[in-house]
Amino acid sequence: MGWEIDIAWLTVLMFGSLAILLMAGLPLAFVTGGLGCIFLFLFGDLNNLHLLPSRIFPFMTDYQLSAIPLFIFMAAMLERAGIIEELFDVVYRLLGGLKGGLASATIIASTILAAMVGVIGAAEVTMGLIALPAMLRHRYEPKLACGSILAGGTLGILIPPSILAILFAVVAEQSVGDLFIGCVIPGLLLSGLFILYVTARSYLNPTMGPGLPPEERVDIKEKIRLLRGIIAPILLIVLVLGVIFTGIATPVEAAGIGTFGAFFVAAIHRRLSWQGTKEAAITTLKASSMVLWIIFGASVFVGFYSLNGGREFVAETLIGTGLGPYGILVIMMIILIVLGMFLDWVGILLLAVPIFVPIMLQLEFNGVFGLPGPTEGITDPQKIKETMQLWFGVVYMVNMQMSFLSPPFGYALFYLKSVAPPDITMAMIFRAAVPFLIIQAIGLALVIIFPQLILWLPRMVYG
Amino acid sequence: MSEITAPLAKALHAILPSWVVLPNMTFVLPHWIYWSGIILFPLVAAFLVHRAEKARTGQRVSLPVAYMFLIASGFVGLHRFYLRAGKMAVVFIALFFLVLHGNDQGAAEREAVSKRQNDLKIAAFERDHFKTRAEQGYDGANAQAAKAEATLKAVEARLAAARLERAQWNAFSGFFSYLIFILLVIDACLLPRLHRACLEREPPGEEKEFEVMERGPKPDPRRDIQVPFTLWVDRINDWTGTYVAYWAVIAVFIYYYEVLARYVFNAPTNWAHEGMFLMFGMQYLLAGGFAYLNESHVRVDVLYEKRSFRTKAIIDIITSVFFFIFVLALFWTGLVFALDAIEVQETTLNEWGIQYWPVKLAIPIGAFLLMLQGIAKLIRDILYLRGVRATDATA
Repeated sequence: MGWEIDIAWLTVLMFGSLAILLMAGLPLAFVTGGLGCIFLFLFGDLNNLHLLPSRIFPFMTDYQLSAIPLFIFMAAMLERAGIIEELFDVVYRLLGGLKGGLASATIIASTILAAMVGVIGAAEVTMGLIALPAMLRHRYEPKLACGSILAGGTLGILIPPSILAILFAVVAEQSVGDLFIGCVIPGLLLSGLFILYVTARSYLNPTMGPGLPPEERVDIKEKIRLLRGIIAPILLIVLVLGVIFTGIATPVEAAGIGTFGAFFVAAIHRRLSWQGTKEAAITTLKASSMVLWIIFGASVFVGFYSLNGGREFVAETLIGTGLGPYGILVIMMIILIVLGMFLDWVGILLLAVPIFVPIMLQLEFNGVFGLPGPTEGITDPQKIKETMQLWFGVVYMVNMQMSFLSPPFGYALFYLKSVAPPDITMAMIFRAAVPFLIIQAIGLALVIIFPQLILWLPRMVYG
Repeated sequence: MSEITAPLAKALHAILPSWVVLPNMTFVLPHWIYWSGIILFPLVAAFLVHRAEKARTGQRVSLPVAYMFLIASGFVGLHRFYLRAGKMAVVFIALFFLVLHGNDQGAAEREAVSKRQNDLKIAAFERDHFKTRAEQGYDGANAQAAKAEATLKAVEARLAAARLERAQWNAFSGFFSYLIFILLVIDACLLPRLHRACLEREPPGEEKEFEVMERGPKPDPRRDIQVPFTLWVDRINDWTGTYVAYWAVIAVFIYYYEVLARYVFNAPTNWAHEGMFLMFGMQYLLAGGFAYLNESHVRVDVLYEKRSFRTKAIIDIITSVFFFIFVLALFWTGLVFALDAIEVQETTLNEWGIQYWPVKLAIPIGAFLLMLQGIAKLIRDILYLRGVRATDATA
C-alpha cells in the first residue's frame, strides 16, 4: 500500500498492537508474524512479503541453533533417568543436619542440575514433586520452601549449558563458548546468595527451616557412600563442559555427546527404553518448535522495525535522555524486567536484543563508583567490541532470571503451581518469589558494578 | 609421560608390520543414504516403539542395548559398565588413553615433519643456487656449495628422524587401537553370558512405577469437539510430529560420530554438521502444526485465561485473522522460494553439496500443516459458539 509514517508513531503503532493482540491470547509467534506481514504490506507492497522466507531460512539453517533441541533432549532423557530425584536425595541427606539444610540442598541440587541441562522446566517440576513435599513434611515454612525451588530452578537457564545463551549468541552474532564461560561465576554467585539467604533465615528463625531430627541424619561413612551415587551426573557435567571449554568439541557437538551420555545414564538406571526415548523426543520437539516459531515470527516483526529505522530511533531516544551510559543501561534493564513480567524469554530476546546490542556497542563504559569498567586496559577495538558483547550478554542473561519469577507471567511460578499440593496457593507462590527476585536484582547490580565477575574466567580460560 | 612410552613406540614400530596404524575413517555419506536415512529411521523407530510397548521392556538390562554400547562406545568400556562388569572396563579406558597419547605425540611429529620438509626445500634451493654460481666460476662459491650440501644432508637426516618418530607413534596408536578392537571382538562373544549373569544378579523385583510429569495443555471443552475434518487434521499433525521427533535420535549419534572421527581418528567429516542442521531446520518447520495441536505455542494468558470458554472462542475467532495472514503469507512466499530452488535443483555450496530444495520446501509444507491446524481450531470455535459439545459431535 506504500503508506508513510513517522518512526515514533510507527513504534507506538507496532508495539501497541503487539500488546493488544498478546492480551487477547493469540500465541506470541503468530502475533509477531501476523503483525509483521500486515505492516510489511501496509508500508510497502505485496512484494515485500518475500522478505519472510529470507528472514526465516537463515534460522532454519543455523548451525549453532541445533544445540537447542539437543540440550532439551538431554534434559528430557535425564529427567526420565531419574537423575533429578537422585541428586536431591543425596544432597538432602548430606546437608540434612543443618538448619535450612533441605532448602540449601534444593538449591545445590538445582545448581548441579543446571550444569547438565539448559532449560528450567525439568528441574522446577521435579523439585516441586519431590523437594516440596519433603520440606513441608519437615515443617519448613512453605514460602521458604517454594522460594528455594523457584530460585534454584531458574539457574538452569544461566549456568552453562543454557539454551538462552545459545539463542543470544546466534541473535547477537557472538561466540557461544564465551558466553557459557562468562555465565559460570554469575551463576555460582546467584546460587551462593540464595543459599546464604535461606541459611541466614533458618538460623535467625529455626522454625522456618529446622534441621532434620537426629534419627534421620546419617554418619560420615554413609555420607561418603552416598557421594558415589552422584558420580555419574558429575562425570556428565565434566564431559559436556570439559569438551566445550577445552575446545575439543563445539557446543552443538557437546550437546550431542551429552545426550549420548544421558542415554547411558538412563541405561545404567535401567530406564532406557524405546517408549521413553520416544516420549523424550516428543517433549523436545514441542519445546524446540515453540522456541523456533517465536524466532520466525519475531524476526519478521523486528526485521520490519529495523528496516524502517527503529533501531536508530531507539538509540537516539535513549541517548537523547542525556543519562550517560550507565543510566541507559539501567533503563534497558528496567525495560527488560517489565517485558519479563509479560513475555517469555524467547520473545524478549528476539524483540530487545537486536535493538539493544548495537546501542550498547556505541556507548563507552568507564566504570561506576570509581571502579574499573569492563573494557579497562583494552585498546584493540576488536577486543573492546568482544568484551562489551560478552559483558552485556551475561548481564542480559542474569536479568532474564527475573523474568521467570516475576508475576504475573513467570514460567517458574506456573510450573511450580502445576505440581504443588492444593493448599499452596498461587498468591503464596507469588510472595515466595519476592525475596529471591530481590536477590536476583542484587546479583544483577553486582555484575554491572563489578564486570570482572563476568570477564575474569573467560580471560583465564582463553588467555 | 612420553619418556616412558617413546621406547615402547620404537619397539612396536620395529616389530609390527607397517599396516598396523589407526584405520582411516575418511568417509563421505552419499546423498541417497542421508535422505533415505531420515525418511526410514522414524519408521523403524516407530516399529520398535510399537513392539516394545507390547513387550513392556525397559526395566531390565537388555542384550541389544549392551551391543549398541559395545559398538558405539565399547572403546571406553561402557558396555561393561552397563552390565555391571566394570572391572575390565578400566583396561579399555587405559588402552584408549594410550591411543590418544600416541595421537598427540604423532600430531606433534607431523608438525615437525612438515617443518623439516620446508627446511629441506630451502636447503635444496641454496645448494642449487651455489652450484650454478660455482659452475659460472664465482670465487669461493665451491666452498659455499659444499657447505650448503652439508646443511642439506643434515636437514635430510632430521626429516628422516622426524618421519621415523611419526611412524613410531602411528604404530603405537595403531597397536593399541587394534588391541582394543580384539578385546571388543572377544567381549562381543562374551556379551550374552555377561548379560545372563547380570540378569541373575538383578532380580526382576516389583515394577518401579516411574512417571514423568508432562506439562500438557489445560483441559478445554472446545478441543474435544470432533468432526471428520478436524479428526483428520489432528491425525495428520500428530503423525507428522511424531515422525520428525525421532530425528533428534539420529542427530545424537551423528554428532557423537563426528567428534570421535575428528578427535580420535583425525578425520573430520564434511557432512555431519550440514546434514544435521538442515534436518533440524526441516524439523522445526514441519512441527509447527504439531505444536499448535498440543497448545505448545506460548500465550500471554494474563487476561485471556480468566475468560469463559465462550468469550475465548469469540476472541480466538477474531484474532485468527492475524494467524491466517501470517501462515498464508508464509505458505505463498515459501512456495515461491522453494519452487525457485527446485527449478535450478539447488544444492549447498559446501563440499558435500546436498540438495537444498527439500529444506526450502519444508517452509510451505510446514505453513500448510499449521494452517490446517488453524482451520481445525477455527471450526471448533465456531461449532462451540453454535452450541455443539463434544458428546453431540461424537454421537
